[in-house]
Amino acid sequence: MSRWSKSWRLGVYLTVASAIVAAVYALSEAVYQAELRALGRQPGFGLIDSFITSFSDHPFSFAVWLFLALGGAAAVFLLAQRVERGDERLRAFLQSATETIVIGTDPHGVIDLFSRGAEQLLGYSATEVSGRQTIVDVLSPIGRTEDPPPDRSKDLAELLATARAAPPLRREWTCTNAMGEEIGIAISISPVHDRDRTLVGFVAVGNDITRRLRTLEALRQTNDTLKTIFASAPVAIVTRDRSGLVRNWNPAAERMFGWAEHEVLGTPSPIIPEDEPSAYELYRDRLERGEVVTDIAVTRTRRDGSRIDVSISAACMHDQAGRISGAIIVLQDVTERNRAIAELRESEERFRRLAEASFEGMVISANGRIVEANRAYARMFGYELDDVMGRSVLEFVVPELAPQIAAAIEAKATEPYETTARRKDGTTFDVEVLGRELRYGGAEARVAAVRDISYRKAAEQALSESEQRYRTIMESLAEGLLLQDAGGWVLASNESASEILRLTPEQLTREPPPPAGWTTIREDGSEFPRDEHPVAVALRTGQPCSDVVMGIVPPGEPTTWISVNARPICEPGEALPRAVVTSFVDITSRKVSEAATAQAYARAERERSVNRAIVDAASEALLLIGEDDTVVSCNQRFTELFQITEQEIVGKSADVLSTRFERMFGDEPATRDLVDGSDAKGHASKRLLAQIWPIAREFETYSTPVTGAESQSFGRLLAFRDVTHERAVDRMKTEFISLVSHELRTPLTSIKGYVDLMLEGEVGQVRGEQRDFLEIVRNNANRLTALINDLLDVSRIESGRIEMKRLPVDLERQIRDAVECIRPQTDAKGQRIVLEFGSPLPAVLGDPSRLMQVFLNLVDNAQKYTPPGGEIRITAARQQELVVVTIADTGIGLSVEEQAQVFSKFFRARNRWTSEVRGTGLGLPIARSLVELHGGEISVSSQAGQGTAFRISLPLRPAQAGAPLDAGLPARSTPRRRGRGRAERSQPVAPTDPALKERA
Amino acid sequence: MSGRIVVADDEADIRRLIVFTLERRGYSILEAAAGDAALDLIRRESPDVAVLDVMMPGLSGIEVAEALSSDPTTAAIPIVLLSAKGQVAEVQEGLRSGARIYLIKPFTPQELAERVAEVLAERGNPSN
Repeated sequence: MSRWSKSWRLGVYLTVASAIVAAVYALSEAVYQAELRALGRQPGFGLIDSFITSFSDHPFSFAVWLFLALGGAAAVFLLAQRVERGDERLRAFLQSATETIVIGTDPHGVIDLFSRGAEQLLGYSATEVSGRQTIVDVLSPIGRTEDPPPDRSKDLAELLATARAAPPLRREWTCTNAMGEEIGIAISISPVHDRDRTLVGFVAVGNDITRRLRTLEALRQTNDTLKTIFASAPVAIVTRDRSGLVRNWNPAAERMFGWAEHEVLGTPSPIIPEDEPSAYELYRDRLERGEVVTDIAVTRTRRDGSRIDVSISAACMHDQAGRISGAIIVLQDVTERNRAIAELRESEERFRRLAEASFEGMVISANGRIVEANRAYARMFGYELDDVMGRSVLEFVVPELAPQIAAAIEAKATEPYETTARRKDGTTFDVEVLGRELRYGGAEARVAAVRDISYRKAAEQALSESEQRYRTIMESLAEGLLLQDAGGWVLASNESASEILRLTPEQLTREPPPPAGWTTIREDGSEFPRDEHPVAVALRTGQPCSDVVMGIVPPGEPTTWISVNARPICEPGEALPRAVVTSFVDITSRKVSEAATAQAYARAERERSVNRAIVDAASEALLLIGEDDTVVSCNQRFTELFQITEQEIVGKSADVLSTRFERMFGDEPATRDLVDGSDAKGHASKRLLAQIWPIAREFETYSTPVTGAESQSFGRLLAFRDVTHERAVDRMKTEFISLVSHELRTPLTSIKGYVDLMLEGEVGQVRGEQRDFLEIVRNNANRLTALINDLLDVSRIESGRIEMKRLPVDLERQIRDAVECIRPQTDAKGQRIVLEFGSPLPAVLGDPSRLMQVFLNLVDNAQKYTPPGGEIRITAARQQELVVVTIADTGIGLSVEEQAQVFSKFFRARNRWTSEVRGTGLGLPIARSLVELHGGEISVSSQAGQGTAFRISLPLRPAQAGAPLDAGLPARSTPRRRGRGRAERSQPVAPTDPALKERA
Repeated sequence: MSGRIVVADDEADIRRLIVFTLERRGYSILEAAAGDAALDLIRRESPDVAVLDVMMPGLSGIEVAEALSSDPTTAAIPIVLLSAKGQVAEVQEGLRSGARIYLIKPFTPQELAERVAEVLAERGNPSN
């Protein structure tokens, strides 16, 4: 074809095109104007008008518009030429394409072109499908097996319609080829028209995207998974790009931080506190090396400003080129975990502190070995804390109990038990153990609390003893005791309660006492209602009742009067008592004797008045000093003698007397002894005191303990008797006796001496009557001597100044000696002496010479009154604690009157021998006094004409106290200088016996 | 029997009785009628025995005896006291003065002679 022809054809086409445009415009304008008219409007600017207006303003644009319209027409012309010419050639080319699927169809989709590439990929041959199969047959997408088989004709129609409506139709899908393989195809379908725009067919061009689709599928699946994880993960997942802006923000992150996804995407993360670096900044080096960092504990900020502890894991993300494109950050809320950990730590710490602070030993053992213990445990057993670790728990009990403990641990015993523990040093003590199982370090273990109960044991023991003691005390009380509960029922009672109420302990507990049927009365005899009993009152009011007198009357029995105390027992904080203790004493006898007591009191009062009068009338000064050394009373004479009033001393300490006494009597030990009572300990004493101020006086004082009828001590009584006058008389008498002794004895000495010389022939032979007369002189001189001696003895005895020794005396020997003394006289008268001694006589304590004097006097008396040829019978025998001596004569005997006087001084029985009897008349009175001074008795019995018998009884051990025998006590060493008692003490030192010599 | 004896008694009758009795038994006697005279005599003569009455004018027999006992040159001379005082205390006082014998009046000449003989025998045989 030539260029010109082409241009020609182009011109034709342009003309046609212009004509069509003009026609369309004319039509459009007509329609437009018609519409304006129909709307009732003025025909205005039409399309063309505006168009022309536009061109008229810009004349050049019209030229362009015209050119473009002509150019377009030319292009359409040229394209049509080319298609016509290259059609066959193109078909061959397409047919040969091996890499590309090219499928041509007719207007109904039936294949008329099937390229090599299509054959290879789809597995069908061109000949096989051409004219037979539609494009849908070979390219249908794979349905799922469960899907209904695709309606291919419908699919084909839809497909072709779509391709015609909006060419080209691009699709990518998966289908099954002839070999049954899944393949992916990307295909573009376009309709093909001929020159006059008639549809002549479709052409589909595609290529194999099987690999890409598979990859995409895999990616899609992974992505779905990741998306699911991302959306549903319980942890916050955030991604940030290289510039730190948030790219992903999952729901968990929303929940965790309160920011919605749309609020944070594309922003710097709002959760990183300003003062903290991001995780990426922190671990940049590691992250960029490709490491994943995990478990970074940081704090993040919530939308509401609160802080949240999170644990972060982070990793870098890379793009396809391997460059770092951002970071993914996983955040886990660890607030709870931290709190739980903190609580656990705290709990552990608390337990540890508790265990350390505990006095109880705490020990944890695993498999019987100690893995944990507190200090108290170690201390309890005497170990260092480190030292107990690893030891067997059985080392801490006594070996004999170890098996028992092992069994308890084995059985995981949870009941507390007591056992005997062993310290490091081997000593043992009682403990209480409470064990529990627990998990320790993931393994089974046992924790045990060990408490030292040795104190408790001791306390229990003490309590038990204490209870026993109180029980004993309760039982030993004379008071009745009842413990009653709030209902009055007896919980405990003692023996006295049973005795007083005459109810056995069983009867007491059977019903609240007193039993039904018993009546109770008041002191005035009226009824004593039960609800007014002290027990009831104490229980009702909570107040104690004291000393309530109540009569208890069992049916048909006498009244028992008791005095009752009731004391309630209240628990702290409780208003009413729980129990009541009732104590009572039996006052029946007291009640009965009250009247008698009143009488006795009145009588005693009378007696006291009388006694007081007597005491006051006494010539002796009397002073009663009590046990506590206070003056109890004194009599009127005392106040007179010592110039002191009763008020001054009664009730005062006896010491107030000391000063006065010292002034009056001088600072003598005797004075002090008298006041403080040291000389009257338990027995009476008697002494002389010389008053030196204000006048010289002498007192005889008695100090004697005062005891009641039942030997209770009331103190001591001091009696002062003024003996000044007595003592003066006594001294005169003594002086008189001395004078008499001297003045009578001196001449007697001469008389006796010279007579003796003559009778002994010292001055020549004395014969006949000379000798008789000289004998008479001598006898009378002897008689006078005896009389003087007897008179002196009587004088001494009567003045109480006779000295008595206290020595063991052999009475038998004394009697025999006395008999020998008078043997000459009895022999002279032909009298017989019979001695009868029982079993050997025991020694008697006494003064030998004085007892000798007694026997001499009695034997002499018997001899004198026994007629010549008569008999004197002397017997002696022991009778219990006495020795009894009887001296019996066969004399004329004594009348009753004579017997009554026989011991009187100067008495002589009248009888025919009276004239012959030469005696002083003092022998028997002296004998009686001496016997009595020995604590013995002498008596006489006689029958006229048959003789007389004297009976002497002497105690083996005469009482010493109070008797004048105490004159025989050892003398003071310097009696002369002390001047006390005028030297009446004796000492058994005389080589001769003065008493005997006196009567020789 | 020999020996020199001082006899002191203010009662001439009794002194004579004593002197007579003792001279009859062969003793040589020196007499004194008062206590102080007796003391001088005894100190001068150093007799074998002194027989002294207690109740004498001037020094009593007891005072003479005490003086003799307390003097070493005369302490060895045995003394026999004669007295009408026969109470125990009086006897004891006499014996405490250093006298060997206290003879209560009335005594018999025989008794006195025996006592003096005893004293002289003891003196001749001190071991007794």
